[in-house]
Amino acid sequence: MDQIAHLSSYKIFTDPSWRRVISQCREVFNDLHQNLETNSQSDTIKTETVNLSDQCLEANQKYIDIIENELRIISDQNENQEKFQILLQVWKLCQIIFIKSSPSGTLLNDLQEWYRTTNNIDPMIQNIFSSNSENPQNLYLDEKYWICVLMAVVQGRIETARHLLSFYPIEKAPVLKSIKELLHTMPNLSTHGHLSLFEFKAKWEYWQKKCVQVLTSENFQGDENDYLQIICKLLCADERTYLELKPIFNNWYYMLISYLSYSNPTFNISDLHMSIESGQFIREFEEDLDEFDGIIIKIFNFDVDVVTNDCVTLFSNNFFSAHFLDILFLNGKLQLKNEMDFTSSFRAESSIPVHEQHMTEYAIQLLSAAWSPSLLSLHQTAFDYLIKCKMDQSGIDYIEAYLERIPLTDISEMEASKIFYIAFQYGLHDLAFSIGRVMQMRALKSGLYGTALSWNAKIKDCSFGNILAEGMMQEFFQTNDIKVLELTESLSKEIIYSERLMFLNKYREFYKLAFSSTKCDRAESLKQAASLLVQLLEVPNLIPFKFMKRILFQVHDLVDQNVFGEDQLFSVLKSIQFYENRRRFLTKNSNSSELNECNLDDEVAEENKWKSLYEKLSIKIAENFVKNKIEF
Amino acid sequence: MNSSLKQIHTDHKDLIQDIAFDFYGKRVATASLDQTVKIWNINENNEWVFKEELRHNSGLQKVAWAHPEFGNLLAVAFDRVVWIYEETCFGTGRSTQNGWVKRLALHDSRSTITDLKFAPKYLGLQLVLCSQSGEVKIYECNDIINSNVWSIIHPDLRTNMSSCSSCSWSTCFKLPILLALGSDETNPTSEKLIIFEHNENTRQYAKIERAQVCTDPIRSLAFAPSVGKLYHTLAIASKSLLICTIKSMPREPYRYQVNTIKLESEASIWRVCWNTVGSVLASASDDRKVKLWKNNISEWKCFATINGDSRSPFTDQNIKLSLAFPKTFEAPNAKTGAKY
Repeated sequence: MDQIAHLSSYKIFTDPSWRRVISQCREVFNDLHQNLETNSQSDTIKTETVNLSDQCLEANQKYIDIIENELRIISDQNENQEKFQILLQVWKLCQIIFIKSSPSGTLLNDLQEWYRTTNNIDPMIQNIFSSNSENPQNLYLDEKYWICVLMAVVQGRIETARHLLSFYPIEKAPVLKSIKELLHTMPNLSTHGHLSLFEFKAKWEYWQKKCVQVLTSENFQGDENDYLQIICKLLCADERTYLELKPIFNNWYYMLISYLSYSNPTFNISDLHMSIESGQFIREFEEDLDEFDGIIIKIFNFDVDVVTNDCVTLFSNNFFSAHFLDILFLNGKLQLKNEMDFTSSFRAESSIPVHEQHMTEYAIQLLSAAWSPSLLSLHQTAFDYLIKCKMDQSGIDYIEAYLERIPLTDISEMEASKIFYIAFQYGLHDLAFSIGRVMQMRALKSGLYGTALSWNAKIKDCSFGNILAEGMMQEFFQTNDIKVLELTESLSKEIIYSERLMFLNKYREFYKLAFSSTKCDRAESLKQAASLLVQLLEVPNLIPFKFMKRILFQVHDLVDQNVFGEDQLFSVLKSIQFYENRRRFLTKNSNSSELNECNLDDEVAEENKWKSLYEKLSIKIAENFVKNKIEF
Repeated sequence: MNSSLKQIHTDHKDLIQDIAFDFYGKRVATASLDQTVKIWNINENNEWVFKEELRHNSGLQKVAWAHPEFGNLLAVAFDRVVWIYEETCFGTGRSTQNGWVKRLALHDSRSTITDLKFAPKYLGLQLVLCSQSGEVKIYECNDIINSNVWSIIHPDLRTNMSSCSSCSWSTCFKLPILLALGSDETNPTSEKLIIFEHNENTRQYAKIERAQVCTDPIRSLAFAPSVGKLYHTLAIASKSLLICTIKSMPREPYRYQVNTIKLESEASIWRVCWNTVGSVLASASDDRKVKLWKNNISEWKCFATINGDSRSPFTDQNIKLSLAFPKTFEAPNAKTGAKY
């Protein structure tokens, strides 16, 4: 069943070389945003704006360098090679058109540079030189010789072309001299930078007239295969010649750039747009147009939205679109679009700026991949991108949704704590609370009171704290194991949010004083224990009714030791009476849930114990009374 | 992420009626007409391993998991009764073992239960039941430690529907919680979709005013998880697939702006289901196809189709494709429930 196979197209996240690219790009992304943040805090506004576009350009160049670097590292057989190459081509072109260019600025140098780097002829030239190194005078006989010359001309590498032509024996074709002269005198935008565009154009027209003159008046005799004539025609920007050289260009866009560089060397974006509109050259390649060509057309049409969306389909991820749109946004080139979006009527995603949409999408793709255990580190990368999506806090929402779904049921306490602190770090207090609740429930269900208590103390969940305290009391009375009580010891300062837990803590203090203190201060500690117990009994509703009887039974043990004062005995008696009243009331109203007392022995034994407590207390009070009377 | 269609041999003796993933996508419960619920865990190798079988004396219709904040709770519906199960720990110390315990049965319904859903965790441990007679009840459990005491907090939401087929809670906690109810009545004039808004202070539900969204019988509905959005998205499985965006009007309680997109389909839709971030919608139709939809700016596009097993011996009427998404954000493991 491979119908949903293309769903699993996030292979790039498991690929080692892509992983290197992703993590390096993340660093650049973080640095860029960090710099901008520190910059925005500084006072000098003017330098900031200058800096801003410089920094964006620099960051974009860094992204490109990272990919270029990776391309150099990987071997030729690597399956990624082609993808990286396409990505580089698109990215560089986008950089030229969307970032570097200005509406009236000329594109010639940048586009020629793009042509040269994406279709490098240096290896080919080196090849013919090395194969003819023994007798360089025969270089021109090499089958690749003329292709190299023509490629150098169409790419605007005039110096290279002249150098290559210098190997051609001049006596064979006298016209060569004029061609070389033409190449030598060809005006160049970069060297004639001091000229205004108008002046340059005038210069160019004059030069091109000379080209036409050479073409019409000179004798191309001896020019085997008409190559020199073709060069001359190329210089004259003869459209048909370009079309005839289709195999050399291989692509319509190279042909277009080359043609424009001779027909209109000062072309700008609108000129480019017009040529695309007219379908010039594209028609020639109509049968071979693919997705990639479509993207190039849209880049030349200056259509950011469509380009980025198409790139998502082409690369089947948002790696490029997220980074590139972010740069555009920071550079201030996306703002217009966003303002338009706000005025648009009811639309599902209208409120989120387009660059954030792509960044979110990229982060989601990272997170999807991060689910497999070996890629867990990817989630931090994704968070870095999400945290930058500030509109409507949508980024933070995704972080929350991701953290929320980490299966707390399967992971260790340590990992859960880590997630808990990550949640806190991002200010997701609700989520942190929820994690704490899940963990304390999980611990309680497995009978791990200590763990449950530590989670409970972390999130200060009062109602669960009360439940937990009751559970621990129950456990204690059943097992008589002081370890259960000792769990509260280290947390005594942190559990003040729950009255039951506080009571438990106080009860622990009492129990230790009364039953497990050292012998030397026995009498003193018993006294303290007694007064603590009385204090506990005096606070209304502090002791859960369930455990009242059990605690009163402990009075029984203490009464023998003569540690209660007269007032304290009365207090205890009052508590006993209160307990009995309450019990009667509950029985009458058959409130079974509260009446559910913690009984350890059978009913008769409990009843006897209760009676003996009552008797002992009465006797003690009477004794005290008598004693006091005698003293008076 | 490697995702392909995997078949789980459940050994159920009859049709699987419902299937539900737990909150984390690590477990699956399958409810079958063969009177059993089976629970499956996913292991490290992405394989589903049989964990436990819960037996009943009647064919099972629906199954739902509670949020893990309340422990591991499972609600199972058959005919007019709902059973609540809880996973507990037996034994002490290191020799503990997990197992499922029947907590209690909710017997109050007067007709067959068609759907049940646990409420979002912000409302506490609550469960809504829809029945074939149009009765909608909401239960609550106050004692989350011993989940055997449940009380009815809303004996009947007045839907005025003569049959209720499906329900869904909204998930965005920044907005008032909505409860959507769908009806599968064939009568075209009757109301098919009713949405209630929960009032946090009074704990009551009130119908919201809205335009007529759908006139065809509704088989299933599902609110999308609204991650990063301040409005609700509701998917409706009917004759065609409908996606409604529901935006609250500022300062006007119970007033919402409802915008519906209709995605035409050759076959009628039986089930709808979202992924965890609400970016992908899956729909199952009675031509044995599961389609996955993705929102591209303002347009919904079907980006993948999964064909069901054509050797399946059931007639179209019998096939109710059931699907749910595991934890993955983007690439879901969709599963068809119609197989032995």
